[in-house]
Amino acid sequence: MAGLFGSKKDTRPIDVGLASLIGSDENTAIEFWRKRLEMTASVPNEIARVGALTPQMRELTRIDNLEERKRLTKARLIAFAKLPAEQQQLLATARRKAFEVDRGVMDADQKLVDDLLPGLDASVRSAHPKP
Amino acid sequence: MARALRDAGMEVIYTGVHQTPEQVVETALQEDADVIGLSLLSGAHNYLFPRIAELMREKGMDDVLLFGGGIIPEADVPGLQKHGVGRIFPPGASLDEIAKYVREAVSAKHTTA
Repeated sequence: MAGLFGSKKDTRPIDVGLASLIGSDENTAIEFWRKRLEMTASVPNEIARVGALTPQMRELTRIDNLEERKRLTKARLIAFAKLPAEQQQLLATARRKAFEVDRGVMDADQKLVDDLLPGLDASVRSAHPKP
Repeated sequence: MARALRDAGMEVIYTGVHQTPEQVVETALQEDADVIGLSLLSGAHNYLFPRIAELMREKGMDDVLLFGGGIIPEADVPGLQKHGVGRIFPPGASLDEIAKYVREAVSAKHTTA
């Protein structure tokens, strides 16, 4: 079932872990993402890493409150920058391939990332090259 | 994972991705499975595992082991186990260890009076 902008429509309940972050403080959100991204980077197979990353990006786009979605995306960007370079590389590759899996979701996410990055610390910006 | 368990001598029915909890449980029931193994990479484990456990209880599948792995933080594991979920394996867990766990769990089930 396609969504309005071509992204796949997912009618499953929202990710409980992500939902629990709504209204949380920044450090809690950053730590949540750091653990999630570490585990995603630890998935031993590239296809499975893409399969792990894509639904998590999709879940973010399902948060109706735009300001909250921005806040959690910002936390994710900061968390990513804290990871070791090797994990960043694995995730960056998975992210590029995720555009082939769900273009609509990834384009929406990239738009948020492009909006948020200029306002973040240089160390965070440098960890996020354009795909 | 499915291939590894088959190589370890188990009969594996791989149902594919994006199965609903109802589909997973129904398949396990129809196939008279000893074990349901879930690989959850989406972060939705706190919904999916309890839902499947609930459906298993409704269907009287008390003797079927539910276990799995994926993007599941260690902090979430006790909560899942309270719902009757067995071991949860992190990404990169040894396939031999997983096979051993399943084999021993099923063996214990069949030797219990």
